[in-house]
Amino acid sequence: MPYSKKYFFIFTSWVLMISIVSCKKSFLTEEPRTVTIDGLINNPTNGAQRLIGSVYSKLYAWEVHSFSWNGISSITSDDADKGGINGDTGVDKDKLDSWTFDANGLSFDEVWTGNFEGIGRAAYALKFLPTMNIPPAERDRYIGEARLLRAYFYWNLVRIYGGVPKIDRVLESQEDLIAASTRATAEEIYAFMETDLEDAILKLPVSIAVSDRGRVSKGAAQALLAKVSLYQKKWSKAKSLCDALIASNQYSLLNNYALLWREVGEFSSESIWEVNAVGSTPNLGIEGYFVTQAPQGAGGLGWGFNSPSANLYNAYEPGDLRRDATIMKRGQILWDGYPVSLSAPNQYYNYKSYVSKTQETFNGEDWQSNKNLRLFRYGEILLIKAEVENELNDTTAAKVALNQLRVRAGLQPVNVISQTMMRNTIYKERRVEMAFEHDRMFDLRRTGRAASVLQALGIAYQSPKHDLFPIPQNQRNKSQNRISQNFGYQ
Amino acid sequence: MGVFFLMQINARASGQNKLTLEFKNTALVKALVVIEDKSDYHFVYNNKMITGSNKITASFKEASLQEVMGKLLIGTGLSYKLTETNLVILYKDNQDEIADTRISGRVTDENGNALSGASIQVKGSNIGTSTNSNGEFSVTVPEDASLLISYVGYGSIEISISGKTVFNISLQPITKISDAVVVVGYGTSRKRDLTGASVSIKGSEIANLPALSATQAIQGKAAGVQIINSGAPGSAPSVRIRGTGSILGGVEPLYVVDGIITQDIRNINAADILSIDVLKDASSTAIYGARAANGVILITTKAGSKTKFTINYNAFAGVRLLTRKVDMAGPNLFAVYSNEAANAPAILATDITGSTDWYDAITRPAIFQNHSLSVSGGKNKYRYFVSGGYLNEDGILLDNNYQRLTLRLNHDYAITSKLKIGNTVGFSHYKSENKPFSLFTSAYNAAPLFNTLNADGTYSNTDKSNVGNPYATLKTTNSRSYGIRGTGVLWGEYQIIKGLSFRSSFGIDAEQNNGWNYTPVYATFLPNGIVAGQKNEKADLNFSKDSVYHWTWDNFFTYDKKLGADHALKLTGGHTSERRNGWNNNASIADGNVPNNENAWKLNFKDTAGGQQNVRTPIGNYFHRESYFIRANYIFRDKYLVNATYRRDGSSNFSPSNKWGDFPAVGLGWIITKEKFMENQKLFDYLKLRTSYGHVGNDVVGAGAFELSPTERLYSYFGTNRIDGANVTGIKDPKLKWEVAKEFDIGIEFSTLNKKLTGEIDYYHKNATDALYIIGIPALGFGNQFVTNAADILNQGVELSLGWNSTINKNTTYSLKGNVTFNKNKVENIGIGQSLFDGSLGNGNTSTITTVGQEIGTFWVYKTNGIFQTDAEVNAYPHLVNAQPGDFRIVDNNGDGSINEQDKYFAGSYQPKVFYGFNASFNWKQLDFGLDIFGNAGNKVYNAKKGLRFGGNYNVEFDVATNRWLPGSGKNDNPRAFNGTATVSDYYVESGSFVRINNIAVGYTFKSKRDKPAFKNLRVYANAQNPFLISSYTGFTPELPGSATASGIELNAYPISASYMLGVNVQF
Repeated sequence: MPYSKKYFFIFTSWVLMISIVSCKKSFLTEEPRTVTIDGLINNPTNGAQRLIGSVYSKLYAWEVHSFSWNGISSITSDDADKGGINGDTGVDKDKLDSWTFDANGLSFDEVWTGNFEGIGRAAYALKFLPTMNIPPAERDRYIGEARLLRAYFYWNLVRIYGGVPKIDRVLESQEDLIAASTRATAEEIYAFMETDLEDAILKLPVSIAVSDRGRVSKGAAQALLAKVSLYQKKWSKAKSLCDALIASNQYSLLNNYALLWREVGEFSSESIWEVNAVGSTPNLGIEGYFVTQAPQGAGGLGWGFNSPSANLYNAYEPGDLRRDATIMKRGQILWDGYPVSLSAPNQYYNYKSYVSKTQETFNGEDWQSNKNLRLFRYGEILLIKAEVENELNDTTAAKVALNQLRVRAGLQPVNVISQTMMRNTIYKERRVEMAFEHDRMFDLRRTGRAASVLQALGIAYQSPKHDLFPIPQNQRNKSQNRISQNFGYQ
Repeated sequence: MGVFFLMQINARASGQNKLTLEFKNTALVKALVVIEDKSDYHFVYNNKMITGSNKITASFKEASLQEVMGKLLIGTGLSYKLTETNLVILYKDNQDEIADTRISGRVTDENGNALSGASIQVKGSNIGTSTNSNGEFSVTVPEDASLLISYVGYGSIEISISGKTVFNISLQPITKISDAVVVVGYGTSRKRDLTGASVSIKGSEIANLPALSATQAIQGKAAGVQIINSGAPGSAPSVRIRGTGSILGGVEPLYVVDGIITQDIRNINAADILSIDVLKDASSTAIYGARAANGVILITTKAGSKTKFTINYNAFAGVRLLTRKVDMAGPNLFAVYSNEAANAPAILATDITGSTDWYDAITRPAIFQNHSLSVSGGKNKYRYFVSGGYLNEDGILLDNNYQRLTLRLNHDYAITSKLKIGNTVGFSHYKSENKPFSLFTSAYNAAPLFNTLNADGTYSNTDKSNVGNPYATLKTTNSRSYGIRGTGVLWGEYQIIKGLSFRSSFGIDAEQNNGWNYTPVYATFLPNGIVAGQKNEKADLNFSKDSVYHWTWDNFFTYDKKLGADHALKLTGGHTSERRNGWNNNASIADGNVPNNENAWKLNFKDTAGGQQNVRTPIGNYFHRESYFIRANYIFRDKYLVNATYRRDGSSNFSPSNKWGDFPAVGLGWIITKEKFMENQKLFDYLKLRTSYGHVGNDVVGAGAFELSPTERLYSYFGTNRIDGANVTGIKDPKLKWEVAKEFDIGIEFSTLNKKLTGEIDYYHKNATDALYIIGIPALGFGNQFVTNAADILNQGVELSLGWNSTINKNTTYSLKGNVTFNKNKVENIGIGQSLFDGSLGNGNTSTITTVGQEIGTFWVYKTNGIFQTDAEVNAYPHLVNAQPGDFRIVDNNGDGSINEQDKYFAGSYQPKVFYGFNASFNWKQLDFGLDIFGNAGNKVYNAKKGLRFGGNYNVEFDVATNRWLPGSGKNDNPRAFNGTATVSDYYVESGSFVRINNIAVGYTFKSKRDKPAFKNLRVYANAQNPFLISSYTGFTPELPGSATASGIELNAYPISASYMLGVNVQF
């Protein structure tokens, strides 16, 4: 019938028009209107650099390397007091100093969060990098960097909390989140770090160009793995890594210990890994690192927290040049002519975190100053070398390594005979060489001396409870208590 | 007497008048039904007249009505009369036998227009007639008869003849449940055929109210619909249909204007609206699938009439007055209180340089006027409605003004007998001189101890408070927004065969909004001439332009068929696609050189120190959508109703794996009064039972909610090269999808007492599942939250509406309408998530919690138990750190000996337990009177501004200051003078219950005595809007719209106003 043909024709055309408009496969897809992941990954010129840059970025974070980190790694120890003014709490730094903290302490929560954020960014970088269309050598280097950085963030976590959740990939669903919200053991975390570091050693370059300063090298991965091995008492492993670092001829001690902590000492021959802070516009510093520790009083520079203890001051041998390079005193005229106020509330302040406003790069930005944080330096490699040689019963080799540091400090070489005496000498040397380098508290625990040392100072340190810090209660709550608490903090 | 059934539908004028019929042994009644079905004729008769059992056997081919009726009525004793509107009235031949008086008259509608086809019936007899096209009738009746005059859609009137022979009768329109035609999605339906819960409101009920948005005007008029007005000019009210059904997703209903989905109806002139239909349950809303979970509001604009040419002019003007403001402390009380709070004599007598009530300084009586002119009419093949409207409204805030111009062009054409084409086009333009509403808050906070201006005419200020001079801010604010919006629909409908038609409509909605903010260089001065902190040293200008467009294309078939006398089937099915997109362009400059003259702004000022920015950003709500839908209505014997709906929706808002969702619903209805066993009862004129169940969705989650995007500016340095690091820093649910509301409804509709009382009762149970929720997650490198479909929210309640229409005598009619809704909201489940805290108080504290077992956004506060009188008392009780005498004693709820977050308790929420409306209208001769009341009860509000004194010396309420605690006073209700951060407590939680008279109206309709009047209708009226509020709340207003989790918090003050106006409505 002609009628039905006509209808059929009209109807078919109409359906066709609807199809053209809406039945395109892409009709229900909106193009994103921000920078997309694809846009980032597919950018061959700087996509990978921006990805890895985001992981490095966490090294500058307040939560990772500043106030709370000082609280946990330093103020808790015999090296430092809370500082500041009587009555200020530093949020919870007073409780860290007196060991009256609990799982609700903000410092524990901040450091946990900051380091895990670094781990999350590394996980995303490691997810995307293998798919990116960049030269393989370049890609390998970025992968090595991401793995080393991830191991570093875990290094901080495992020393504070023991076993923590192991994030070895990007979490993508509620099921993933639930599965990840449980703790791996400390051993599992160490093993995870070692896998990362072994691979990083293979992938990272031996030396870093001036234009890449701040990026990590093979030496940085070896140094971290050496320290990780030391903590696990894997003496031979640590020794071979130290030997490799020494044999690489990339590093040597800087003659003047005091200069190490100044701008002129940045990326020196001794430097293995530094966080590259810049005090000129655009600033990028470790947030608040300088200002929270700078001396107070009339004409003061900062908040005066993490103040060196008298105990530390007295721990230096007479004539040890390192004491006055580490500790500044009330009323002292500093190297750049700045007078520490006579009204400063504390006797001592941390000299290693000091930034000269007149003699170094400083554009008025207190919060983001040019202070590079020295994460690994050759001096510590010599300390690890000395310790592992001694543990392997080669006191001679231990002495050779240790005396290089003593001589630089203006002291006589030691000539100790017994392994035990040598061990104690190394421990003491480690304390004064590494003071305020975020090492002391963990070192005391590693060597089993925390209880005796702190109890002697009147602190009610209880082992085993205090051999780990508490898992932040806030994180446990958010995991519906799937993340278990450490012994003694329940 | 017997019940008089009118078998009548609105008469259609055109159509097939030649009949081809075949009857074999068919009863007369059945034959009439067949004719009605096959032609445009409709019959009116008293069913008692047809008593004979004659069966008809006859066949007709292309016969005229006369031929057919001639044969059918043989031997029945009946005659018939054909009206111009194809109405066929049957009457007894023998009426002359009992008649002895000839009467005549005219029946008109409420506007004086002729009602043709109205029925005139002698009460208690079979005698009757109907009116002709001029509304005139004449009939011979017994001398002592009473006449019943009725017309479909109008209230019946009874008149006794008492010797008169000429009658002029005016009927008032009513909405009868059974016959009213209502708008449903993609079509219309008789109300009686619906299985779902819906409310229909006539445009005439809202046209005369000074409301910018039509939803504002339907407050209190529909059960289950809660409308919360903020009172701020130009703002859209917040609407909740059957409770709050989402936590993070949208909670506002869907608006559909002439078939086009939109989000904002402020561009529509209320005078252009024919009807507003609110769809509430799944049976009625499922046709809108993924977007219907919050209910649907359908708005239909007016069309012309083929028989009437009408010019209508409606105008009103009035004044708005500030009626309720909170009394603030004067200069001396302020100084005493502030000094006491600071514990120091910071404010001296010499600091008091004036005395200002800042509300008086920045407000005024505001004038408004509104004009609407429409022309409508039509001929055989076309109809038109053309209108223009102008609204000019001053704000009660000084210099604040809003103007709107609207135009509307609605047409439809019958191109052939099968093809119709039409359009609805609306255009609006608005211009608003903005003054920040935050000034009301500034006025609340500002110190009262200085003048608006110094003696030398400069702006005054004080150094004893950091709030500044609100008057100076007002006068130096130069902000305007203006824009245009055009909405248009072009549609075509083709009748393929009888009963089957296809309709396609394409609509666009395009708007452009522009705005600027300019702040000139200015300063305020302390009385000693020193420049104060409140100043602007660099003139700055910000200019923004939004462009949004949205198109919708619907294509669907409708098949409407009666299968014999028992079955009626209506199928609707089709496809729709949609796109919305928009961008914002923003340019700003702050270099100080921008002149204070808008004509000199060319936006090319040099980028000097102030900097210049030009930014283009997408407008959040952009999407593509595509849907298929089908609806089947089946009616058996006009009493059993089945309605099944199914919609499949695709949306770009969802992840690729969850792009499509399915939304089915089914409804059942039973018109009980149609049953045989109901024939002899007299209680119900109409009784219907209906129930429905279905799934509808809520897809308001914003574009890209499931999509990961990198965070930028995560800096690090490589050498001297700063790297702009970028990476993903969170986790998003790649399977994110719409929320699903599972809705059950059961309802009864009835009409009783001779149709005087009509009513509807519904019980509903709405379970929103897969509701979006923020799950707090431990920090594992992927942010601290995960938004996913995790929560369940239950709303259940009962709605009741009743209407009473009555005629006391021919001069007096009245109607009463009331509705009440009881709703219970409860969060049933939040998956692995934790409680959500919201309701910011502006001082770092939050006031609400959303958690399992409670209502969404429940206030979560400390319970107070008097005031600490002495230090000893403080020490004797658990207390907050730094508590001192004069502070609240807080109840240690969990009894653990200390006061902390765990001691807070659930103090109720902003969601009312019950809300209600009442409308009354009364007509006496030419006078009419109307009253609208709205209220709610059982909810709480948080008076946050009362606790917002921290920081600077903010002013304080007169009562709070006067009744403050003083040492030794022993007072136990108000705390000591303080400047600190207020503790979140039940001291600030007050009852949110209120009753408000929304509107009182009085009108007078003039009647012309001339044969050819200059006008068809002339009505003058006076309205008082919001003249009374009954509420125990001590703040400004208990109507405090907000987001789902943060409603009912008065942080920013906005004083309530009342308006009084006079209007005129004239029709030619």
